[in-house]
Amino acid sequence: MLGPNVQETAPASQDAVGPPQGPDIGALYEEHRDLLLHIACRKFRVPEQDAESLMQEVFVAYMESGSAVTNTRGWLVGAMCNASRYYWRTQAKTESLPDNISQQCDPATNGLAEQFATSLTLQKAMRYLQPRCRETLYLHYFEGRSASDVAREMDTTNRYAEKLIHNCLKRVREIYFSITAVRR
Amino acid sequence: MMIEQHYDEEVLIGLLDEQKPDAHLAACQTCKTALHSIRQVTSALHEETVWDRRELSEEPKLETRNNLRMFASNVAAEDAAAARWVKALLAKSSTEWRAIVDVHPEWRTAGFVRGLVAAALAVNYSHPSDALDLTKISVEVVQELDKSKYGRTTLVTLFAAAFREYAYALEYVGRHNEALTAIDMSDEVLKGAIVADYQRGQSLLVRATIFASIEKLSEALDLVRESRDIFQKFGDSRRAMIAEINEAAMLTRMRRFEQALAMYSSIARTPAADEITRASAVHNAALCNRELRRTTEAKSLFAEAVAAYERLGLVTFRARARWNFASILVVEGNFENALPIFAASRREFEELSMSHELALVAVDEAEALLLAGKTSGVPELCQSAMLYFEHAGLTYSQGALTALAYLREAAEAEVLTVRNVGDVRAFFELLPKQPTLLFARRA
Repeated sequence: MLGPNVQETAPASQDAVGPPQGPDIGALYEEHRDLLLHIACRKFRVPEQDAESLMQEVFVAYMESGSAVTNTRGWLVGAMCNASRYYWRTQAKTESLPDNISQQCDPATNGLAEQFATSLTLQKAMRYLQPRCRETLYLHYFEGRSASDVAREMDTTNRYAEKLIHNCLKRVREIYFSITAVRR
Repeated sequence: MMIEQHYDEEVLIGLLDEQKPDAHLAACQTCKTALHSIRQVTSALHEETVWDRRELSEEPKLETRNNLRMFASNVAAEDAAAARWVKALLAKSSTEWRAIVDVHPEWRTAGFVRGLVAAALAVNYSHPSDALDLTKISVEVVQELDKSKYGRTTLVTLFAAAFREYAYALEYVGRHNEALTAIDMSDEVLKGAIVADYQRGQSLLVRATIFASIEKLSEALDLVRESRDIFQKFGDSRRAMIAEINEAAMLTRMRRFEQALAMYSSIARTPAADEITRASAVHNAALCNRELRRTTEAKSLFAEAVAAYERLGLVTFRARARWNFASILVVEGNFENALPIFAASRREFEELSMSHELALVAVDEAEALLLAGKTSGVPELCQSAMLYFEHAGLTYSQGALTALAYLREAAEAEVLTVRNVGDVRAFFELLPKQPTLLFARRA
């Protein structure tokens, strides 16, 4: 066949390096700090002081990353995961890695930032929950205990434990939505 | 009046562990969305982070915020100064660029490297040899930077970007081996980066492009998919789409046309696609249609792509699209209209220093002349292309000259056949991968 077999894949070219245009970097830091700190400290177990320095590097990398970052939060979350893994790789030379580092998340999906945001909000919501409710949800959802197990642990009936699980879930969702509504 | 009934939260929570499909849920989007929202919460409750009781400071650190603002303001000031320097540089002839940079030691700044890279990107597809010169200077300047003035993240990002863009510029003018060396350098530097994955995605994309050019198609396909995944992880849908269009290009090269066509058509319809991506998708869809012998669709799409490239000022793309358009006209036997387009494309490639394209379009033009019964035009055509290669000083000039001379002699002796032309074309296809290959005429 005549003609070039060249296909245009030109957009493979990169975008210029340099700071993305947009909001003030200080404002971006304030907006995303909570989430990034949550990821580094709670997900990757990076000590808080080191997490703050890592976060600063993430923002510097963001500013150096080119003008075409289309999803700032997604980019920062991916970069924070990346930086946290880098932290443990370099720390591994002087101290042992956390036991579960291999299970630590890889930003495997598009919705990763959303997942982290949900877990951060729930973590905050837990503070406003009654201890009994928190315990119920912990046993059922985190430890994976059945309703009858929860009933035994809480010294109550199966039926009441089921009701408790439902009510506590409803309550935590209420708090969750009130937090996200305030944030909006 | 119909009143819509929905499940309340209590019922939906009860359905969380239900295995059997629920008829209302299957039909009701509102209830489905509500159940999904409950599932998001219950699924997050399985995560350790939710139960972590450690208190983390919630107050942004003033010091971090100030550091970041100061960094941003330094970058802006450096970039503003560099913009003036780059403008002054571009006002001169490309042959003077390196010497000008040499007499300006104050230009050795990160901002100037960023400015050079940006300038190169702006001319990559209109003046590829200028893009190559600019990226070459950028890799030289980045190595001459005062390392004590910049943080590690800045240096690593700049090094990696400069070498990556140099690799791309080399690849674009067909210097594949040098492009590979440059992209290796970029990757090597990235090993020391705190946030390396995103840039690794960019580098993978360039490497995939090089691999595809040297026929390592299956590796190229793996790389481009990996890069797409990285961009998706970082929520960068625009670059993920760029990776996708490259993936479709690999599939086309592997002759998986239907699969590639489906991808291109989908990209061309995506509202979020930028104009260049959409135009490229249209162009490549035309290529697939051509291979699938759907010439009417192919012609219409090529014409659409030519118009889009024209509008976008993408000269090299437009030249190739026109060449493709002409090739379809040849298939249809419309030599009268095809020949002037071939000639115009050849002149454009010559001006753009795109030697590989120039050689191939010359061969295609020769074949069209032969099929049109105008073999007498072939010697002049070959002579003109030979003149270019004599002065180009490329590694493969010798091979190109021999092949073109063979074509010219065969035409002059009136023994030129389509088969001969096919041999020369096959030889030119191989040249970029084997620059020292010599042309051997068929016995």
